[in-house]
Amino acid sequence: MIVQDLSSAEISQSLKTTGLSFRAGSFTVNVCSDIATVAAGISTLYGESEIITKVCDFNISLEKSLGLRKYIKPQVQFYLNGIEPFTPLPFSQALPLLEWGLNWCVTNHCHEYLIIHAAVVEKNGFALIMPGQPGSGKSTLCAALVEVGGWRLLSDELTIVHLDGEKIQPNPRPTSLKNQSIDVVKSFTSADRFTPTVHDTLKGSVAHLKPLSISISQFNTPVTPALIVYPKYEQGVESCLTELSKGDSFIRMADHSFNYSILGVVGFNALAKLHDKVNCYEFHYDGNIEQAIATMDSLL
Amino acid sequence: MKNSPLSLITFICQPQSVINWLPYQWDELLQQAYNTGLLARTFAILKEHNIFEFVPEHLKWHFSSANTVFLAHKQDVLLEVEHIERALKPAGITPVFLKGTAYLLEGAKCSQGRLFADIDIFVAKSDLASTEEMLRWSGWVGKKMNEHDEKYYRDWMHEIPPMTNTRSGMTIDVHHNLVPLVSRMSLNSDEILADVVVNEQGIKTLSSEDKVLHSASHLLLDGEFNHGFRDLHDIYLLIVEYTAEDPSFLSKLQKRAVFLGFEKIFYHCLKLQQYFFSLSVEEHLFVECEKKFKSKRLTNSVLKLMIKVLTPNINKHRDLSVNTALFLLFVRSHWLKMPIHILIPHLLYKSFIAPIKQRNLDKLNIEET
Repeated sequence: MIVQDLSSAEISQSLKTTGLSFRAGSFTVNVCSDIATVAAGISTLYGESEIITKVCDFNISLEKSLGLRKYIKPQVQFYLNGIEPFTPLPFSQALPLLEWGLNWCVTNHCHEYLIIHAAVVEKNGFALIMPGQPGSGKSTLCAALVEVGGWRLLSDELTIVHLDGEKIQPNPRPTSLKNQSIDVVKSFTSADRFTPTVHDTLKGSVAHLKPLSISISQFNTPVTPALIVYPKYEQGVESCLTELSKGDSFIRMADHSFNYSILGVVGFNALAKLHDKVNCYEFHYDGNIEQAIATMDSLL
Repeated sequence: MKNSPLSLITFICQPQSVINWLPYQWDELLQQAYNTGLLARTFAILKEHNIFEFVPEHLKWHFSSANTVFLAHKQDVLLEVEHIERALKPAGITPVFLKGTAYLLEGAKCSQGRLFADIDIFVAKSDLASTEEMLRWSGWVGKKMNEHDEKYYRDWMHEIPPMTNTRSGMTIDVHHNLVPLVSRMSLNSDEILADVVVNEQGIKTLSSEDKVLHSASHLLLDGEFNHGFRDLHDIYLLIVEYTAEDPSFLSKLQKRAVFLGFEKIFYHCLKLQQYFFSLSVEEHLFVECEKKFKSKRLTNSVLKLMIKVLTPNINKHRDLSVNTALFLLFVRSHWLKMPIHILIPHLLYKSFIAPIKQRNLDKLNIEET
């Protein structure tokens, strides 16, 4: 059974009472909330996600702040098992807060893998990892490869590396798009997979995009890593791909990792073995999507 | 919304019971362990009793990942202890390590899976200035404070403002007493230092009795209960361990409490141990303390508030009675911590002046960037 087998009334009812348990990427969550935008957002983003009857990994609750805050500048609060790890956000940001909170749940608690802040996609059984600073165009490039280029989304945000460095664990969760990239991606994607854009967040304007069905259903098919490409979006530059030494890439990946220092030697070995298997590049691109896809395809 | 009976306490008192557990009990244990910060300790207990295999397969990672974090933390702390010793050695100062660090250094059972933010050390007041100086020479820096906060620490409290090791990023709290200087429960720090124990590696920690009383005083007087249940369980494990070494430990603990004027802390702490973990305590140990109480009824009402806020409950933040109890205990802790002529101006400052100053500072920072 999947979430969209339920009516929207049933979804809201579950969220308000026992919580709705569903699969979110490689993890399972139980979400409690009586906030309408959260219910609508879950219907849009997780409609094709399996409903879970087992004990879930993360028990989350999103609540409207009480007291005076109920009336003046209302806020939303995120709880994991009754613990509030973040300061409250404006009420309109409830859905982005769920998505950011879920990422935090994974990166802050799961150390069975090396987790890297990078998008990762798959084609012909090989994974392409794209680490990038905010603004590097990683999410736009990732969406283009998936929506236009026929790659499979493994994750837009978290690259989950098995500790033996052999495989990448998919974590197909909604893609988070910011500012101008929202309209860029909307130009080649059907609008009904998007949540409404929320403005004035810490990251600017934000919208989320539901992964394609193939991505969601293949959540448990790990993929062999083959490429690491560091994208950098720059307006008006000539697109260019340059090879990067494995040593340089190693240091950058460690820097982009959430739990490299916690894993210690184990994390070092995972990253070393991963680099034995991949070729590394830097990719400057000007936003020409067809060309970017052709370049990535040529690397396979 | 979500209901949570206390699988965590069942687990602590009878770990073997998990062999017959149903999924919902694992769900509760997982949630309560997250809530109380006891995931890594749960892992340690599961391993100690050889029952880790009974954890549902898809939930095992929560406990083992928490243990990975603990192992990294332990390594960091042990390294930091070396740094601190090296920094203070030239001045001939060997600090007494307190709380989490002390448990780790003496290999106490309650150190397993216990994470903590700061390293706490205790030095004689006469060594305080040189301790601060030596730490500065070795790369520690004090947190920038305004005049009020500086005065709060130096004139009223039992520790100096926290210092951070610029290389490791870890924070150290340097104590020269165990309770605030202006507190209603004043303590002669020489009496504590006189009982300090030194292990084979030359590491100093408080005596067993003082370790328990110190932890209990923090738990019951700080006015914050974020780690309350974990601290309560630390004390339980310490008592069990020390009683195994010396069956008369509890009666020695009671004598020490009476000597230091900690009767109420002893009473509350041991009553809580009885209530939550069914620790057996001989009644006469309580009776002698009760004689010192002005109002037995008041003492027991406070105990009820403590039980309320310490009971693991993932819906606490929504529970008005818990929030009320938290508020009352917060007021009580300040009442005990500071005499009224210091308390009132301090609270006024914290509620009105500090937020305005902070807002102006934030504005300034925003303009600068």
